[in-house]
Amino acid sequence: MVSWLILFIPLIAAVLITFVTRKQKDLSSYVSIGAVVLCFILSIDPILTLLKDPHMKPVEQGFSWINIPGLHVEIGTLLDPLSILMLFVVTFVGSLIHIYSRGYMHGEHGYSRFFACMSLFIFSMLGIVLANNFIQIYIFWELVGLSSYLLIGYYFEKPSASDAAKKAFLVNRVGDFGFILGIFVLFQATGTFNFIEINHILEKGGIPESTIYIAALLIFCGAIGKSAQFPLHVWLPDAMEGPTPVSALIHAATMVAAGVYLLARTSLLYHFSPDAMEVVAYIGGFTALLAAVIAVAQNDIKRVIAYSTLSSLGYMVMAMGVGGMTAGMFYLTTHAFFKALLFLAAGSVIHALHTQDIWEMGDVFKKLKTTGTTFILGSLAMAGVFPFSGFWSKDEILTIAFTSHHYFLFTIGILVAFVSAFFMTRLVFVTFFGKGRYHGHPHESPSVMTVPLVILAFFAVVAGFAGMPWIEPNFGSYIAGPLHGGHGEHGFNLFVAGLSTAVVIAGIALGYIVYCKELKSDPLAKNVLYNLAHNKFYFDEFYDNIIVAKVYNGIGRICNFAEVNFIIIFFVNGFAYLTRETGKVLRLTTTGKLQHYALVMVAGVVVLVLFFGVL
Amino acid sequence: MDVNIKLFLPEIFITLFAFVIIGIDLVMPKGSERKHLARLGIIGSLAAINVLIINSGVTGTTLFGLFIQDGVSIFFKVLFLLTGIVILYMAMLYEEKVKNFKGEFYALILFAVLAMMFMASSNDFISLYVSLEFLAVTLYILACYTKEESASVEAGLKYLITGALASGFLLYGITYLYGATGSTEFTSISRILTGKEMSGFLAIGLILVVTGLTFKIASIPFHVWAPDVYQGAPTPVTALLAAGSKAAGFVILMRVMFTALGSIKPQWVLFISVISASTLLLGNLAAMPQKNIKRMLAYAGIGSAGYLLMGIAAGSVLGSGSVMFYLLAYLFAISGTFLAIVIFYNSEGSDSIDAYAGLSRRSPLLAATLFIGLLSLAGVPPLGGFIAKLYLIAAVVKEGLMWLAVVGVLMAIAAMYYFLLVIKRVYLLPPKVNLPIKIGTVDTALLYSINIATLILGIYPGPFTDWVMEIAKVLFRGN
Repeated sequence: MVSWLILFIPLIAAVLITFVTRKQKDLSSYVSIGAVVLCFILSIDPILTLLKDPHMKPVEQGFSWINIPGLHVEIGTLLDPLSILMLFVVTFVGSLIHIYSRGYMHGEHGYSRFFACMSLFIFSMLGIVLANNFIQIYIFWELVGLSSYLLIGYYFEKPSASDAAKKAFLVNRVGDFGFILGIFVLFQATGTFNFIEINHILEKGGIPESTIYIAALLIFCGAIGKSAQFPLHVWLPDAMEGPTPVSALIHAATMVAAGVYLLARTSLLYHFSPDAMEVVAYIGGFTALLAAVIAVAQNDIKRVIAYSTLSSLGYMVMAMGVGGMTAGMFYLTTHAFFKALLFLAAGSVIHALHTQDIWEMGDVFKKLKTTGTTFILGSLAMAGVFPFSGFWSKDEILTIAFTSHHYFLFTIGILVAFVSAFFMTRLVFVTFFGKGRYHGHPHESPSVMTVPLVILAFFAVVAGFAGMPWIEPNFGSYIAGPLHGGHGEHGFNLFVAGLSTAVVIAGIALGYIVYCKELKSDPLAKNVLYNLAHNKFYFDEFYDNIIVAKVYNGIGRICNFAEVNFIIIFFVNGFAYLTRETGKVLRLTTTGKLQHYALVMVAGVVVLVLFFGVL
Repeated sequence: MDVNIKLFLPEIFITLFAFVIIGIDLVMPKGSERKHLARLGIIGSLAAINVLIINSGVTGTTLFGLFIQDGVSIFFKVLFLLTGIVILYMAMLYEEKVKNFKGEFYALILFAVLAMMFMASSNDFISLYVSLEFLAVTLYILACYTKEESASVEAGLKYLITGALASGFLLYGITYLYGATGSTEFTSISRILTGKEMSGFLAIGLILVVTGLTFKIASIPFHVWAPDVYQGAPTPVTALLAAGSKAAGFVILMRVMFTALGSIKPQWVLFISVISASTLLLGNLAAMPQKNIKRMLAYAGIGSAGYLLMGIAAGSVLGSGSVMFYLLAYLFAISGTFLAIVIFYNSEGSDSIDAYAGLSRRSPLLAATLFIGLLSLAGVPPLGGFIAKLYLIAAVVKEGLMWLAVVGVLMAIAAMYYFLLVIKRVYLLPPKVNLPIKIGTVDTALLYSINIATLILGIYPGPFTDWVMEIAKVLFRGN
């Protein structure tokens, strides 16, 4: 019952804002904030249940939705450790972001619209989290796509914003197409959409491994789209066109985490297809490295964070691929805190300086003490410095990669840790220290914005302790329920921890040497690699000029030719002509004359009797 | 004599209310408004629904097996009473157009509902025929109620004469069936026919009975009356024909085909399928060139009969459950649409499709009602009509009638075309006059609830489909 309330409260809020309180801006924001906070309060009960009993049984409530022979679709909710964890992350971080938005969006045009979209987004995201079957998760998957489209395109009068929204939506659709095909493959093999039933069937065996492999890869397509993995990673940086709270909400805690959540939800499927897991792991690892390198050469504060998000997502996906489902979910949780914090703190900086270019900032730490301090705490967590939360979660992933003998991926992981430490140091020094290159007189943001920062900073620092390897039960043992094939525990590996700490320190030191100076522009700007990274390795250009302009438009032209000359002229017009003429002829049978009617009736009976009676 | 009053208590209620309406009408001053009588009728119908629900556990046969009360009859009676309520309300809006005998207009609508209720409970060819004729007579009168208009008179006359012809065929067919089986009661016919071969006698009886019944549901070969009568009759009566009379025809058809003739199902599947397919083709194709919205809906109604016959052709629990669900969705879609047509007609005085141009700017609610109602009829998700068509198609696919399913799917596309022609005028074309159309509070509330009902049936059909499938099992208990 509680799960249904949690699911529908944000929807009610969205409808209420749209139809009733649209004119009263303040009321709209309170309705939206109230809804998400209420969701958080309602999810405390399931969280406590889970904490009391780590081996809780999943609570599933399903109602028959469409029920015809051969197709049974239900709508339902599933409360198990995994969904309860996500429920906590989404509603808690979501609440703080909502509150922060009240200050950040102050005076914006379409204030109520913003909050209506935010509530719709939370509804969609909770739908993904609580779904108990694939059809439902797919519906909410698309709803998240829609509501993110509305939020990214919030400043729709700006062409770059509306383009970014369109791009995010379309790129996601590419992945979703694979996802729905994967759902159908799985349905074909198992005859059900329900997660638990599918897991039972998988455990019993009987599904050929090739089928599992295909289904797993196709479902992974959905995760590639939503979690912005290579090669569909291009939408996420552009989506920074949305307001900063939106970036924090959808690109740190919720939407992009949905892909990782999907992998965790279907982890048993991957468990039975090691080949698919390898693909997942390598895609994740490659994305992590690629994005980290690009992040080094970006000058927009939000874009740097965006690429660091991409990199983190790659890390999580890699974790799923090497069999570390709980490690991936642990990273997702800590990441939600420190990444939301980084985005919101960046928003606070932007709010004060009215620019996003880090080379127009510098030396603002003295003016923005709270923002600066929390930002640095978030950066330390992101870089994975001991004992911040990022350290524990990153360490767990690296340990699993190492102990499962994925040495190549382990090396990539170490490399990414090094690069991440480097670009986070760069970001902190260029933004907050060195030479002041800003204009005007920056002021610290109002407390409605700074209080959420402080709360998030607290969690960014301490959340990692929940997953410390030597406490029992720790994070992993709660999440690794009987439903999932992931491993609950892992040991602490001194070599891994030592090596990652060493490279992080090296990264920070290098960053300090290069950027802790009175700089006007980036000293690395002449470097070839820097320029490649600055231009994001020309992925956008490749997609625009080759894939879209040549391949896509080429196919488009052929289809157009075929459609105009063949389908429209022959089929559409032909069919229309045929039906119209038949319609006219049939109309003639209705002459209006009663005698004719009687004739038609009697003739009809005679024909039927002759035809069937004689047979 | 075994008479269980409880089984037909709702019928007694409706009869009483109808007579009370006539009685009050007598003492009311001449020429005065009679809208209160319609309200009284609505209250009576609500009371009858209440009685039905309270006594829904009381089932069985009475009056020497002529009358049966079971899940199916209760479902249909509730459906008919709901139809009656909407029709009475529509008639109230239409009262100015009725010059004389306003009170009887409402009473006759109640009698029509009563007749349909008896049809739902008929368990014997005798009670079937009597209740069918009872409905026919009230509808003959109602169709030509606005006697000042020649179109209405013409409609009534055509309906009467073609109806008499169809009755003749039906009665003739019944005699053949009686000849072949020696009984008129459905369950005993079923018992006698079990394991029997098809004889020529039986075949002719079956064909004649089915064709006789196709008059009520307006399908081939007895569909010819529908366009003229739908167009000419007063709009509330048209709505009654479309929603009520068609559903009543199907409940009878289901009882005859499944309960009485279910044991010789393999012999009639092809016959019904052919009727279904040709009705689908004719109704949907002929609807395209229509200019008058009521006439277009008449052809669309013929098309709907084709879809519903798919459920009969399937001859299974799934098929008959789908028929019931379709009729439920159809009731809301058609009553919303006709309510909008009546309100529009009262304001504009026209039923021409072209007159609907720009309606969305003049009355968003009427436009939305037509949008939801017509698209539900066309079978667009997420509306009730979509689920209904999906189930019917699934039912025939399950019985291996692939070709019939293909016809059904193709004709759903054709239906999209002519319904979208109306929607296009409503939403895309500019209005000729830009005056807003006034809608009363009760009208607004009713339109909203009908639209929401259509949406609920489409978005969350699970409980409703499970419910009708459960009910439909009753029909097959005999075999």
